[in-house]
Amino acid sequence: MPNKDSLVIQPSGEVISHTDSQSDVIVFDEEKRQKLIQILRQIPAISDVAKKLSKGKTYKAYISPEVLKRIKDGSARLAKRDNGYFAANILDVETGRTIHNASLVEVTPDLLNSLNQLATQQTLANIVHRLEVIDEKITDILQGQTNDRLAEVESGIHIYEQAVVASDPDVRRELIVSAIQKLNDGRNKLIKSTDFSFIDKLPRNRLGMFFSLNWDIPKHVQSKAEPVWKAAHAIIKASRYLVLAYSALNQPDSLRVSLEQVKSEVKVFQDKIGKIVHWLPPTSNWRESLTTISQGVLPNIRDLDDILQKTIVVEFQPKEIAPPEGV
Amino acid sequence: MKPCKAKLPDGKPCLNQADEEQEYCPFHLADQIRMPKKILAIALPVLGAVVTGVVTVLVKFVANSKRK
Repeated sequence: MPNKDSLVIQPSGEVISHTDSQSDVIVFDEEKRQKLIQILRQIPAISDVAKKLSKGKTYKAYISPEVLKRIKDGSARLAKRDNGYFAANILDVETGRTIHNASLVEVTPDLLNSLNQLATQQTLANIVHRLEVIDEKITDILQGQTNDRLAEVESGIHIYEQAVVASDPDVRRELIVSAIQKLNDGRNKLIKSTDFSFIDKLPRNRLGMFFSLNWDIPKHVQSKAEPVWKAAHAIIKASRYLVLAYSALNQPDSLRVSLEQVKSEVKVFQDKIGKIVHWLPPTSNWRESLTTISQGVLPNIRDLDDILQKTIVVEFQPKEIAPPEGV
Repeated sequence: MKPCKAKLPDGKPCLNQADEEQEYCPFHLADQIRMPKKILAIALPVLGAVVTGVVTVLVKFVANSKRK
């Protein structure tokens, strides 16, 4: 019977789509799935089960949040046998009681910790993907327009791209740190310097509109909204690369602080853009883009907090885990 | 905020939101006063020109009658 803290393998008999993701589960992309399969391969209990599974069928492995949670908070650890092998995979630290009895050979606690790291990386990758989608929606409309407000952010992006291809790990790290600094500075300057004051000065009733000095108020709003829009675009770009940069340094907590620092200011930014939307013709091609911005420019950092409440789901075929026969 | 009462050319309701004390969104409110404002923009200079003309004629008439 599957233990609550154990790794459960459930035969599904069918291929499950990777896009069919639920909010309470983490589904790995192909690169991270392969890394996870490498980890699973090293656990003989899993390997033994995989040997008994039917060939050609696809299975799903569920890794419960309890496993990740207990490893992270230090309340569980791997037990070590006298012969140096790690035995029961999870022990309660306080009571010393065995939680699960699957036998593990030469599996270090690092192996299970890396599960946690993989889950964090996948969450960050999901955040980046969502920001990419928002960015695309805005870029489509702004295409061809020079966005000078993006200059400092662009500079940070260029440094990040240089870091990605750097072969020396020290140079790479240094470039990423520099990119983070540029991206944070660029984003903060945009947040502080963007002028929304025109929104509060707009008339809200017929009489006010009639005596307004602007003949075509929606047109006036549109011209004033353009720099705000471009700034929002730059903030999204900066956020996207900040997530990538902090992820490359494996510092999700620093990312969290970086996002928290600008959260309230960005909220004002979003609210003001939400007001601009109602001044636009309902058929305007700006509409979707601005509505998207008003719904959220910064990634949802609660995703990072929720990792320990999520179940990791990995889809695999028996041959990916079990060694080939005769080996 | 509440939904705007205006309808789009295709008959669908407007997607914008109106202020609590208004029935239409800011875009449609501005759209509704656009025409009267345009008429006023054309009428005011015309009216100004007419008034100026009338006043000029009156002044000239008074000046001529005084000379006589």
